[in-house]
Amino acid sequence: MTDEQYMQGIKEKNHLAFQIITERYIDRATSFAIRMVGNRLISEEITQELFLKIWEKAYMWNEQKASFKVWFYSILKNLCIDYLKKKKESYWENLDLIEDNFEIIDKINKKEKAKIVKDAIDSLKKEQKSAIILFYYEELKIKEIAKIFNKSEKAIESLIIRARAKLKERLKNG
Amino acid sequence: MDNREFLDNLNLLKIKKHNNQELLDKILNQAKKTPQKRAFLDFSFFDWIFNTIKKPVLAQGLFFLIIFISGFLFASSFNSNTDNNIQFISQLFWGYI
Repeated sequence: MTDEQYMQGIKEKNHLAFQIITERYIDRATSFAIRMVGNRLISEEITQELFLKIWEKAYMWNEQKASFKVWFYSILKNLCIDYLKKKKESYWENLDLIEDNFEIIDKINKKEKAKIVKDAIDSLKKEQKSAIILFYYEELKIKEIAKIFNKSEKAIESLIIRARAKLKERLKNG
Repeated sequence: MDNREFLDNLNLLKIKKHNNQELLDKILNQAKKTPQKRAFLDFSFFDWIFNTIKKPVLAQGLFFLIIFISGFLFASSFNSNTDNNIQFISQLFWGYI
């Protein structure tokens, strides 16, 4: 069954449909939030808020306007950006959140490089940061990201190009 | 830095797998206690307005036109003389000059 069919179920107060959607998307929600805010505890709070919003405000989802995935990432992105606006800055509490199954020899080297990548992503503007994460890590299409940001595809393309140029520069200097 | 190297760099930032079972249970329990909200009003009429008038400037223009016509009708209810009504409304908008 598709996400959209389960969403219809959620609209009809079906808890099983909500459970299936939550199971499907919980990992994506936490990993996106961690990349945005850099803290597991806060990312879990955001994830919790996100799914409760999906449950409570299911009536607001309109299949004609956007797929469930687009609606899901729109809420998630807004929650993370709201948090970052309040917090003013994001920080990574530690690097243990990053997967480090590298070869032992270059483990330290790669972990240091991962820190540079993390700092480079953190230095981006909030919108650039979320667009980069959605495009490269969540592997969403430009068309979907455009809907999430409520902007044209051209605008998203240039947003990603600018963010990528900034990232490349940072990585080169790092 | 070529594209390949750039992507390799980004791939270094993979998030560790984490067991979210506890969080999942917490969310599901909370959802059971939380009633779903219902739309207070049927917004389809407003959706139609905003979809039809996509440009905000047109929407603002329409809004002021509606206010102006309402004001005119309101004034008309006091006086049947149209000239006086126009004068009354211009006084409302611009004050006594």
